[in-house]
Amino acid sequence: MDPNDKTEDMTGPDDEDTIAADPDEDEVALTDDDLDDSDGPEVGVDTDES
Amino acid sequence: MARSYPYGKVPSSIGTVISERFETPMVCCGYCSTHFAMAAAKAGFSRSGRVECHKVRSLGGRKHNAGSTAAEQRLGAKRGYNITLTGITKAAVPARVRAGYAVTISIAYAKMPGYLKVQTNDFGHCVTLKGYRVVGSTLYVGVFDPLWLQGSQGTWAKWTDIDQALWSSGHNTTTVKR
Repeated sequence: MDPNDKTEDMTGPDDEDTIAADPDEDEVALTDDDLDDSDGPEVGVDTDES
Repeated sequence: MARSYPYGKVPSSIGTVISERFETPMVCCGYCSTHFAMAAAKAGFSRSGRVECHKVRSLGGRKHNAGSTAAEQRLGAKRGYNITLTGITKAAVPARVRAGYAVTISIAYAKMPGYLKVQTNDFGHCVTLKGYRVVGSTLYVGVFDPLWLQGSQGTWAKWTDIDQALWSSGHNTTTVKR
């Protein structure tokens, strides 16, 4: 490499938006027996004791 | 009353508490626990519940100061931030935590072990589990409770202490990204 070369390094950091990663890809699959999407009683009602 | 740490504090590298105590009435333990889970699954979230928690609450279909349900938490996270959260059985919780995921759980506050409690009353409560360690044959899980101070470290708890206080089914939610 020419030490006098002032050309900027344009490679730069990877600008991939990590927030845009596929949110639906489960990295360790759950089995049907693991799943339970039923709803339940409310939480957080009458929580504050102060 | 104050919590204690008979099994130690969870390293901050695993996470810190997102508290619901930034306003009165509080936003709800369910939304702060959901916020913690979302932040564990995806970068870019704040550590304060002021924005994310109320957005999840609103889009989940609940007015302020009215509690929440697990299904509403999942719906709000999906609508607000495109985060997929999945309802899992009580039996699936420990394996999921050991696989590295955040899991929000719904729990009877009065049944929680004394070392985790900061209040004496009873209500349906929601906390997040993240991180684990095994000592001998005992599984410890990292507990992050929105009733604790903002930014504080989590508490290691015996899984059996948590398990005995969980509701039977349908109220536990896991991230699908670690």
